[in-house]
Amino acid sequence: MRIQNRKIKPVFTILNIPNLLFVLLLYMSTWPSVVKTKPPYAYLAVLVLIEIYFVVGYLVKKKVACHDISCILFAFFTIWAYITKTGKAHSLLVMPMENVFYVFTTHYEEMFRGLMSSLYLVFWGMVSATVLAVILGVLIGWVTRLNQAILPIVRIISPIPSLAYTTYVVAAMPNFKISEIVIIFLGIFWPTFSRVISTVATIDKKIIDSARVLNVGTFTMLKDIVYPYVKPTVLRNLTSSLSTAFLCLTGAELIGASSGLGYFIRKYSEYANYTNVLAGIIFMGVVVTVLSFLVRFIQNKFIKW
Amino acid sequence: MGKLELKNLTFQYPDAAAPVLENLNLTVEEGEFVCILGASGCGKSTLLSILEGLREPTSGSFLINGQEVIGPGPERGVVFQHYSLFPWMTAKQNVIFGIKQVRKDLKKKQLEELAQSYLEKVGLGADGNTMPAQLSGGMQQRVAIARALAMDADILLLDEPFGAVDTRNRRTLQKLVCDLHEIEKKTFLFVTHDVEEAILLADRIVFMTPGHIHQIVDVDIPKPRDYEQIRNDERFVSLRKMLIDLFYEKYADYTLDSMEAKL
Repeated sequence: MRIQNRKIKPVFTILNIPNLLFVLLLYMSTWPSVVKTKPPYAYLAVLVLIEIYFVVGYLVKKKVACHDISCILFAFFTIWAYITKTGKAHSLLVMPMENVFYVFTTHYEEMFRGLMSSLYLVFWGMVSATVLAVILGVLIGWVTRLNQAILPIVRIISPIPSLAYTTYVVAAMPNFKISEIVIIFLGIFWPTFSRVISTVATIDKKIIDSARVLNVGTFTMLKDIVYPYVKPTVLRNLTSSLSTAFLCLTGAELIGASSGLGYFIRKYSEYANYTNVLAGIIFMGVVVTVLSFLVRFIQNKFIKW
Repeated sequence: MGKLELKNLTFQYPDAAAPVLENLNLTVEEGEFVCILGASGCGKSTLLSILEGLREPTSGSFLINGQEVIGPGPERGVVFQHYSLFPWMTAKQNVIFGIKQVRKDLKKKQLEELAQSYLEKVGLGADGNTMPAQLSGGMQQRVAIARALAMDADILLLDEPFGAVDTRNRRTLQKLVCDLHEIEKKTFLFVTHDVEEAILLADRIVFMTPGHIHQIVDVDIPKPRDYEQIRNDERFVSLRKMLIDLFYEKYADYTLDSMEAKL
């Protein structure tokens, strides 16, 4: 906390690295470019956003991390701009950032449609896999005999990356939507299922005993004791489920799809339009970040102990 | 109705050489407060876990109101030594959960009110919405007592409930248990290794040596008893001396260290 509350010397409120880099970047955007450059409005908007983040985070809220993060981002853009403006790199692969962000203004409709279709698949894949894994996991984890029979099998299946059976599932399923949901389902179900089973096994015997002396039946035991016990584990597991879901999704969309975030990237890389590819990658990063925040929000709300 | 009888009760682990409990016979009358006193390892907690229904006796039986009992039942409420509240429920939800298992007919509002009244009985009327992790050990045990009482069982089994509570809190909790026994008119069976606690609470003290009931001692000090008042009472002092001597005599092969820890 000592560092966070450090007093900033008056001179450095204006003369500091992020501010200097920001001005430098604005200046560089007026340089003539070797390759054809699109209107820079979207790019400038992003720079301004980072600058606002820096001013609010560091100069107002005095968080040193905000200073450092904006330094890194601005430094990256500066180097990138220098390389592209001076024509030091292959212009097809390292294109001006102006062009990359310009894609958001021209292709937002296609991206949004892709986002919706991807979210739809991720949502149903995650929900069906998690719900089923919890129900079956609680049940099988509780019954010792089932547990001993099934856990070794689960241990073999769960580490297989779902990308490994992507092609097979795509071939086997009637349409691409279903096969994508199945791939996401398989990617999340097995690890979650095995996690739930092993968590059930770790329930303190004292908790079980205190439930038993209250005369609870098996159903109540599973619903009111075992399920609440594994719930925090499942919620914490959602973070990794989310990234697994996107891994599976992208993997599947790279093989065959007609819309989606991964499809957007694949389509334009086939045209060798790497400007759009890069924009798609950035967009996916933003989407995953927003979803992670959502997951964290759910965790904070529902993990009470 | 809460009469409890043990008939030739024996318990032995399947691959053990000697039984943990051997031919125990004991009758606890309705409304009586009985303390089971003995050093750790004498089998008193095993005995209680049989009465709780968590273990089955190897031979012999135990009866409640003349009926042989197997497994846990609604006529017995239990307070463990370890804190046994469900950590994901608030104090009040814990009590409600207990009531719900025996009273399926109650509406949500009635459950709330009943739980609140029992929390008030143990002095936690204002802490109903607190999570167990935010409560001190002594407070958690109060909630556990409220939960056991709220199930309206005829017999209350308490397994060293204040073993992990500090001395000052233990005195208050002992007073609470004493008062609750007076008010509720239930049968209390209380396991402890603390001689003073046993004398303070019990109508009769069952002194156990490993595996056996050695002696049953009547405590004829009038109730209600207050520790500060009776600690110098002649009957208290002599009873205390007698039981401690018994400890030294019967547990002579225990090391002195562990003996003192137990007393």
